[in-house]
Amino acid sequence: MNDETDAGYLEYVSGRIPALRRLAYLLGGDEHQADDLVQETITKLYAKWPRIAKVENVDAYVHTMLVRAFLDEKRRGWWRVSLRGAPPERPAPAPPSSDEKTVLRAALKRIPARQQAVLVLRFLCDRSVADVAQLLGCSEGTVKSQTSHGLNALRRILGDRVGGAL
Amino acid sequence: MNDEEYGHRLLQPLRQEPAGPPAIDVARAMREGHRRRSRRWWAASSAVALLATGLTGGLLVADRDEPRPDRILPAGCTVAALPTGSHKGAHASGIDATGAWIVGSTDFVGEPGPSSILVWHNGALVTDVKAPNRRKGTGGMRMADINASGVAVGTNNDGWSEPYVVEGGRFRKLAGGAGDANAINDAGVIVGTVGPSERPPVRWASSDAEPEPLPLPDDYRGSFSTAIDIAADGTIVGTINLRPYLWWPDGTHGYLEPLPIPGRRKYEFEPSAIRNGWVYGKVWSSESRRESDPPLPGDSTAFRYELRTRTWQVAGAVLKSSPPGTTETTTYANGTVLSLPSYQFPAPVGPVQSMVRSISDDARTVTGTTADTGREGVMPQAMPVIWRC
Repeated sequence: MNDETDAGYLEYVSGRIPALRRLAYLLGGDEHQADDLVQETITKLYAKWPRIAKVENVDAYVHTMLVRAFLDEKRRGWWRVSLRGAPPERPAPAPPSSDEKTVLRAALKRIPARQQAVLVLRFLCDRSVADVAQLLGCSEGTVKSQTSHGLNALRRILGDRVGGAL
Repeated sequence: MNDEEYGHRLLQPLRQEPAGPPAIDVARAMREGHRRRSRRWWAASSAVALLATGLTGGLLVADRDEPRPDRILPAGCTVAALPTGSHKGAHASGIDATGAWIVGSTDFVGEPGPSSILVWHNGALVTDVKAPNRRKGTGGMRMADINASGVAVGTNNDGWSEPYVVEGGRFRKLAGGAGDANAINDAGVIVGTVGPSERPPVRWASSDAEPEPLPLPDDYRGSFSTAIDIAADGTIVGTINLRPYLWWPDGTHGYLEPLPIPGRRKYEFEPSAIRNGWVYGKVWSSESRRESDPPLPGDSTAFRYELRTRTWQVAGAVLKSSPPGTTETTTYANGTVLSLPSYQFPAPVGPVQSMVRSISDDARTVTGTTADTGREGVMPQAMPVIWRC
């Protein structure tokens, strides 16, 4: 480890923060949570940087770390090394709204975390089934079935409505 | 409309960019990431320290005139859960040299509010106090070490870390402002770092003393320097510019001798602890091994550095923790195997995983945490455990 590897990390991270933040925001729909996820991901990345800086596709590795951090967040494992011991103080949640986005996001949060991740990655991040399978460490068949289960769950919650019909 | 079209159209309204400015601190990520490199390894080093006491030399990588015999490896160990009082779980993180005192906390066990600090003496819970709640909604604290007088040190977790001492059930913030307390020896000397952003290594002569900056070499470049552990005689091990560094009791200081590993591959050493006259740490390399480079016992190999002779020795392949789903924690070193039995949860809901965290000097008492890692929708549970060998 030396200045050179630190410089490599800084160069990598500074160029990727906007994309990582966007991915984190699409996954959770909350800017504060997105910042926390990115902060956690780049912290883990630094801890492992000397070993992973030379892997073939660092972006895929880092996106996987971020998605897993999102799933971990849902589980709140005791072993999770966090920058904070507990969720930080947040502004009071917004009052219930009939706004389309709010309803959609609330519905999304009611389905299992992995299905949330699959739907967001497939339909908001436009990732292929193969990409999502790689990110989640599962088979393409599992991605397809999680997609189907997730969409069915959303249909049950929202009724069979799409785009503008909420 | 097929699933593909339905999914895209349904979720389309959520296709947004985050609006506010990012609150991401790269410098803090680097500082915390560096600490994690050391912290993650601490568990491993403890296990290796246990095994190293039973080795009779291992693979010598440097000649020594008078090898000092190691202590005898215990033949077997039993496991028991440490009492957690009113808490549903906790984890143990430090043990003193005699094995009588253990410190831990309820951080990350799913309890609301600030975590509690727990201290056990001879297996009995003697202290259970809430960590100082500096900011609403935060208050986690990691305990790093405890000495033979039952004085513990640790660092709060809320992003602006400050070092604390816990003595007789009372908290006191160490002098000097923001920083980290990483270790305390039986004389009550504490080591860590102090500083608002750049954090050079310091020592506190006692828990109420002002921090004294440790002397630094000319090539000190600022960040990534810390004091990691302090021996009974006051020898301190740490890193400067991420390279292992020693401060001797006579005031001299300097980098450890380079690792005498043959081949062109460049290795790094991350020190973790000083025990019984040795510095323990992990050796690894970010470079791929060439065919001409000799293999090491493991991908991440534990080395130890003898303070008296200033020579290196392989201590063994690194154990991190048992993989989820296994029932035993097993440690390996040069063919020597020691199994630590796993604590059995009465009604586990997910895979069970154990982690060794710290060990007494005589290798007869080991502490750590066994966790039921839970499953979707079910919170994991963690139990502090003691192995008696």
